[in-house]
Amino acid sequence: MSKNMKATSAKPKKRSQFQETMRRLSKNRSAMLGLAIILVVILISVGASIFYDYDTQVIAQVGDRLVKPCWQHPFGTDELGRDIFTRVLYGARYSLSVSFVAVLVSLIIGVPLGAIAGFCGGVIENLIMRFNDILLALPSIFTAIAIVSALGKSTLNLMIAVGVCSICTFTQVTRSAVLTVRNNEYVEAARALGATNLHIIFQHILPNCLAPIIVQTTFRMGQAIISAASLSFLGLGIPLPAPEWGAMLSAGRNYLLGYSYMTMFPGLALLITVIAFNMVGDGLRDALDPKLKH
Amino acid sequence: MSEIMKNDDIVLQVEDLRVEYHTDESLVKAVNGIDLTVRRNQTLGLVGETGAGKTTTALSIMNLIPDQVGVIAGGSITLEGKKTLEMSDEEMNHIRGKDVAMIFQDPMTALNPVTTVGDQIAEALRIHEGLDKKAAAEKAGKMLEVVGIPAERANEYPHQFSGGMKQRVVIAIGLSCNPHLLIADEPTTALDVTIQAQVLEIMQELKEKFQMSMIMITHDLGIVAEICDEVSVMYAGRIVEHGTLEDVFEHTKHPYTEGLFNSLPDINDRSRKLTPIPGLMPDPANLPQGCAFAPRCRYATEECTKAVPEKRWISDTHYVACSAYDDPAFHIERKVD
Amino acid sequence: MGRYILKRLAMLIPVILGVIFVVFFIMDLAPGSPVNQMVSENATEEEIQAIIDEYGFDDPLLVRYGRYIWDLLHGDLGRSYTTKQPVLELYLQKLGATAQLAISAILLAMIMSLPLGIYAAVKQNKWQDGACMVISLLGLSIPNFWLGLMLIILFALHLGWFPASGNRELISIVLPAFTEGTGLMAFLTRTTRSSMLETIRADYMVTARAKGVTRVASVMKHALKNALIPIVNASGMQLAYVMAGSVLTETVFAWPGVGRQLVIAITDRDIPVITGFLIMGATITALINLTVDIVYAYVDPRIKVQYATKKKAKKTPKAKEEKAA
Repeated sequence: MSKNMKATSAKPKKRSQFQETMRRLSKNRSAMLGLAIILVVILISVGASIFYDYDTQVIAQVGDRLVKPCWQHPFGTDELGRDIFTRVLYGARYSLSVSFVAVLVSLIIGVPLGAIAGFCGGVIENLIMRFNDILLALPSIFTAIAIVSALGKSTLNLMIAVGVCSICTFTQVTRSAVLTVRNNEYVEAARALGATNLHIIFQHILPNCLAPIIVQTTFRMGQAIISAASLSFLGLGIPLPAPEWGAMLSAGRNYLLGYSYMTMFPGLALLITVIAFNMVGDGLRDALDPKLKH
Repeated sequence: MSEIMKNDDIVLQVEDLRVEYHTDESLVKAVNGIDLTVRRNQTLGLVGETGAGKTTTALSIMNLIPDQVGVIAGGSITLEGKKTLEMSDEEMNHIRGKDVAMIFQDPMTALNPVTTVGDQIAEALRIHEGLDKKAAAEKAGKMLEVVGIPAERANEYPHQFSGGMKQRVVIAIGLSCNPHLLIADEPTTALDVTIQAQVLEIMQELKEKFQMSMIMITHDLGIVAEICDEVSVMYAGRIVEHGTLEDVFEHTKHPYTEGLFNSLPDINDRSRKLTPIPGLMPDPANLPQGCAFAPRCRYATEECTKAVPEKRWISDTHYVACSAYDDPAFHIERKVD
Repeated sequence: MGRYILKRLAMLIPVILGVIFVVFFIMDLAPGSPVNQMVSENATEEEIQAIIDEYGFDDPLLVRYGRYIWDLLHGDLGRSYTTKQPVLELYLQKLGATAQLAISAILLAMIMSLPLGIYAAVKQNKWQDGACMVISLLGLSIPNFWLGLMLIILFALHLGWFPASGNRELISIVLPAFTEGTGLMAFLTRTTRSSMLETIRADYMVTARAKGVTRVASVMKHALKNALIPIVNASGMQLAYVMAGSVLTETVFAWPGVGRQLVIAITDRDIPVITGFLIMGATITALINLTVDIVYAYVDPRIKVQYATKKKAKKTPKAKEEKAA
């Protein structure tokens, strides 16, 4: 069996791993669609302030309340007469920036911790991993709720809360990647040739751990967007009246009967953005680890 | 009795079998028109390097080519008068394990890790012999004893057995329904040398006892010499030389077969230098136009790269696929005395 | 096996102590004294001081931590600031509804995800596989509080098939269970698919087919039996998380479980309730995970035999890690 598989997976041309990954990724239609959506969302969140001035478009134009979707207000207006379409466009900025910073925070803390644990082993590894166990024991939404309720409601605290929840994921992923790589023969060979630890970490181990970290980062972005919106929905996120998607959903809850568009559109925006990140994550995972596909 | 024997003397007939694997990037021609004949109570050795298409041939006989990528592109397989390639999967289920059984290369992975070995043997019995649970378990225990494992161990899981023991279990599974043909795909490659000998001995013994025919797939010429009656040498999906054991070992014709022998150390002449075959087997996704062995063949001429050589019959039992034999004066260097 | 369980239980203790400390530490960051929640606005200095003394609010963090642990060992998680009800009592009161929701959700998820995942794996890379994967992608990406709201709009408000909130009759569990189950379903479908993909390709599948086992039987008996091990593990982990309290689903459907109570406590800044609920949530998660590991050991003969015969127990993976170090 394995022989046949080996024969079929023989690669005719040589490409660098990066090129090969990119080529496979570009062939993956759903990943490309996801990437396109993400780009659009980024454009919207950057462009919203250029094309639409929040103050003039929303605050100054407060008009009829609870208008159903029409030409003038494609998504209708909310209970205060604000245009939901513009608010949804603005919401992209909050979701993207919160999740971006949150994931960055967890990357900056989680990856080095995992790398140290995997590389040093012994007492240090034990300490880090037991701490990780503690974080893992608390369901992440609980941790986030505890942090926000202790630190108070603010955009920064939301970022911290969402970020802290993903630290253990990155620690775990990095550690196991490091453990797999460091036991590979080429690392032993490098060590036998007298390479220093630092050289081994940067030249051999980290580049080979990148794949799982990149994949996890993409998935975590989607997850962080949901977490941030969840906290806002519970009233623990970005303080009102910011046009955050989760907060808009929370407001719409009181108008479910008859004004379902108020919850429909912010939720759809949320769903589409998260799907896009998950699609890219799936594509990256398949592209970086073709064994899983064939 | 002897008359009937003569009439269906041939257990398996493979004609012009072609198997391809389709992947995103390439078309791999794994088997390119091979013929095989297995006679009753005889053992055919199928010899070649890794990737020559031996396992693919075996799986084709079982009609178990992985169906998402593998395609049987042509040819016919006749197993005791039945054209198996034309049969539905449903019909094949009644033949697999009953008329023809297979033993696999790696006993470590060939057994289901979460099922007791007894149940794994009993499964075939329940399918083909309609035994109830108890009777099947009983017979499974007997089969274990046949391969030299105490019947009490039937309730143990594969990981509790050593490699050689696992291979015995795999053999017990294969033999449980008394098949007429046993295909052994490198059954000893994954085992230690001492265990290899034990397993071979058991197989040989059981082959006699159960009156089976056998296809022994291997790259080990020692095993072939030990237990085969006929030999087919396979290279890049084709059979390059076929004959009785004596034909191939004593009157070697094909340069590739010669190369195989020259790669073996000789205990009687330790001063002789090993002469490995230069180069590698061609990529089956990208076979050369002519003889696939030509790029590595020291006798190769311009002629060899033009067309795939046909069979040339040396005797009633012996053929070689090498165009050099068009010249009656041609002979390879290997001398056997 | 008994020793293994004891050992695992013992390993749980430092984790729980750690969780308590982390929760304590985080809650200590909260600005303002909790006294303000407990006294009326025109309370005198003496009244406030009396409460501070009674609860020991002025003590250092570690002292309060020690006292909390001591009380915890006596089954006391403190009392709610607002209702004065013992936290443990309140928690147990709310746990039933949460368990009901969690178990329905995980059962629903397993019923949906097993066939989907197996089918997707069997039809790998065909359109059927793609369809199953789209369903799971949707389930994975949909924020469950939004899904809950949409279900309420459609099935409760427009069609009137199910109640929109609360837990008064049996039928009210349908929408929350579906909401909570969707995300779990998506995750389990992926787990099922990927473990089935692995086992479908295993060599023992060829052995089984060579025995004459039909295609369907080989998948359902041989591949699934092996794939079940990771699936059981994943389901258990999911159950552990939802048992801790599905804060969002419970909030959306006003489901009277621990998650909703936690949100109420946060609004009230009721620190003992928040702390106690978080700790209980973590404990329950850990206990379920432990149970799953034990079940896991029973499902997988390779592990079972290891512990049953007490030989090489736990040694092999440890030794490997030590070697790595």
